[in-house]
Amino acid sequence: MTLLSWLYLIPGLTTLVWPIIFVLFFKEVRPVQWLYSVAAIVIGVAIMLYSCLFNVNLRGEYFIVILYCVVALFAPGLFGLFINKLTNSEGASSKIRALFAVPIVSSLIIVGSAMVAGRDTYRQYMENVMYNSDPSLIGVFEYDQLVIIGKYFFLAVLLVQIVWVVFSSIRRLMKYFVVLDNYMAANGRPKMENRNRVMLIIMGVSVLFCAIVLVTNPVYELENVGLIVAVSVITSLVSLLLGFVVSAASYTAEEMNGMLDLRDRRLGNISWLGPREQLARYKELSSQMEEIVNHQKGFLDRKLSFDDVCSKIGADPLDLTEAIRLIHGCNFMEYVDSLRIDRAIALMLLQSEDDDALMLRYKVLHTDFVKNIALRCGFNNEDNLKMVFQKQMGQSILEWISEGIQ
Amino acid sequence: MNPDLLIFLIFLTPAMATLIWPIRTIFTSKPVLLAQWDLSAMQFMVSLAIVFFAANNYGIINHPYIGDVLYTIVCVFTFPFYYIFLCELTRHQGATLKDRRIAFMPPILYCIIFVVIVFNLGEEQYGEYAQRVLMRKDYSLTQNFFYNAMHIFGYWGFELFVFIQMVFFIGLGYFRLRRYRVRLIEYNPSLKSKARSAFMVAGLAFLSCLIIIYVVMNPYPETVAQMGVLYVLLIVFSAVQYMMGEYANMLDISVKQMLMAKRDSDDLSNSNTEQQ
Repeated sequence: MTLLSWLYLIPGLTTLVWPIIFVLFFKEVRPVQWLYSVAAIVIGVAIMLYSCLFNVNLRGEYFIVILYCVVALFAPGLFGLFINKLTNSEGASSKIRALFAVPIVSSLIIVGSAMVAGRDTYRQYMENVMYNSDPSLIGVFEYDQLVIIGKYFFLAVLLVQIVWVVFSSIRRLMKYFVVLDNYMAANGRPKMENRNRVMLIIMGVSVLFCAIVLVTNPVYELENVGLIVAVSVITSLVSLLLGFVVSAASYTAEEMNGMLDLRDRRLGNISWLGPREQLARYKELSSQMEEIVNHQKGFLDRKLSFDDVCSKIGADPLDLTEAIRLIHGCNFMEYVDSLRIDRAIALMLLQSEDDDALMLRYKVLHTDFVKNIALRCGFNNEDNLKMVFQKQMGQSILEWISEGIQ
Repeated sequence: MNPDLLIFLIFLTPAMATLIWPIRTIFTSKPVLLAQWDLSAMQFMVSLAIVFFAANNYGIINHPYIGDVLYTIVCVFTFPFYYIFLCELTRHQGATLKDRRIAFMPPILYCIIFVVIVFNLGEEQYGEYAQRVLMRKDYSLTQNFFYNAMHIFGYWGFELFVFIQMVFFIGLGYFRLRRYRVRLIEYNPSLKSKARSAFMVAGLAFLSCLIIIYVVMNPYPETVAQMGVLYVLLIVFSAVQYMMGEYANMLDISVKQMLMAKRDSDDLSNSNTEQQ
């Protein structure tokens, strides 16, 4: 049995190889590599603690069992966090992080039930129920409670977490491959080969397989030593290979965004999305901008600025610029000016109902008529209106009025 | 109730309280900075160290050396995380290879040597060492090479190692934070009051060290009054840990971000000029 405990130590220790290499030999350790290190250390420690349970002297040790349960419950979440950081330009959102509530609450329940039972009862439970499968203790409330919470509840929470993390990771990785391909194509680099993808997926499945075997198949007899050796070898290889992949996956989603040029970088998340999603996002941004500038008459405010609108919407300035360019075919100030000119024209047409063309010409030339219109439409001064009018309509105000007369 | 278990539960309170800030950060911060992850890691280590210390001293871990090994490993890795946290916060390139080597190489080497010696001694011999040398101060055993090495590395070496780490990293942290304060005020003069928080972090780290030194030096309370003092100190310790996290949260602008924000605004104003 001590031999078995040593076999379990091997994958535990190999899991620690990459974190140590990262920390001591990598010139720049990226956040994704830090997260991988944390996940690997926690998984390694969990495996080593598990191995302690088969050591003759630590068999059923109260503290070690509890520690193993707590550490093991946090391992899948941390691994998920690493995959999130790798594949999502924003890293793990607070919503994803909130899923840590599951291991926290489960640990509290497990530790609480173990402490209520007390050390002696717990040791008896481990020895009789877990190691020797003694049926005589089943039916006694204290032991039943430990079996339900310490065994079935723990296993259920752990397995649900592992399955969820592995499947969501595969889903995320598939999405990540698309972005990686786009990025590589944009930079004239070779795409990721299919066999590498297959390798990643196989590794994910192997992790799931090893975790399930290790957790659900505790080996107390030497007859299963072959299985344990196989699992130890697979886990060691997987952890080593995963370290290679992490250091080779030099482009995280975040970095890909960082490496693109200014416009693309500032486009941030949008450049991540597919064409349909991108267009939908641009439309949404544009309609939010129209709501503020057009429908709420923001263009009438002479102090209206692009930055104000961005901060009101909560959009990145270059995202919004791109959205306006795409939807309206102009930049922000041209769009605002066009609204102001529309309003100026409407006001002049309204005036033309009271005055004939000659009177209008007289007013334009000899009174503050244009200045008043300019100020009422959100322009800073008369010259500004004249200049923009000339640019947008291709003729001056006076020419436009004269044309109206003809 | 078993008095040992009672003391263990008393120790558990600050250990749990120390975790409040990391848990709060994970659930509420948006996003969590690398520096905040590092501080969280350090506080997890502190919490684990308290739990192992208590479990080891009050017979919750019923094994000759596993408690000592766990406590030692966790303790020697606590301060490196504090140092890495400060590097991430106060330097634009974060923790460099040199920083990481300074921080993590000594504890890794120390742990390897320590574990090898402990494993060489084995359970029986380690138990004998603990009984005779540590409890009864009978140094006759230390004539043997491994017992001697154990005493030098595991007892004196550990105390010295952690103490040097404490002085070195808190001292270095103070100077780093002082430089950071200057940059913070340069970046935005209105952050002057925020800059004061930088010193609070160093001060609180120092205070929590003093409390821990006291607790480690006087682990076995004999009277109710002594136990009361211990408990109050541990409560103060957990409050200090929480405040340290809060101040670190206030310093939510790392130098890296300051530089990036500046570069982005420069880029943006350049691109706006080009557009116009």
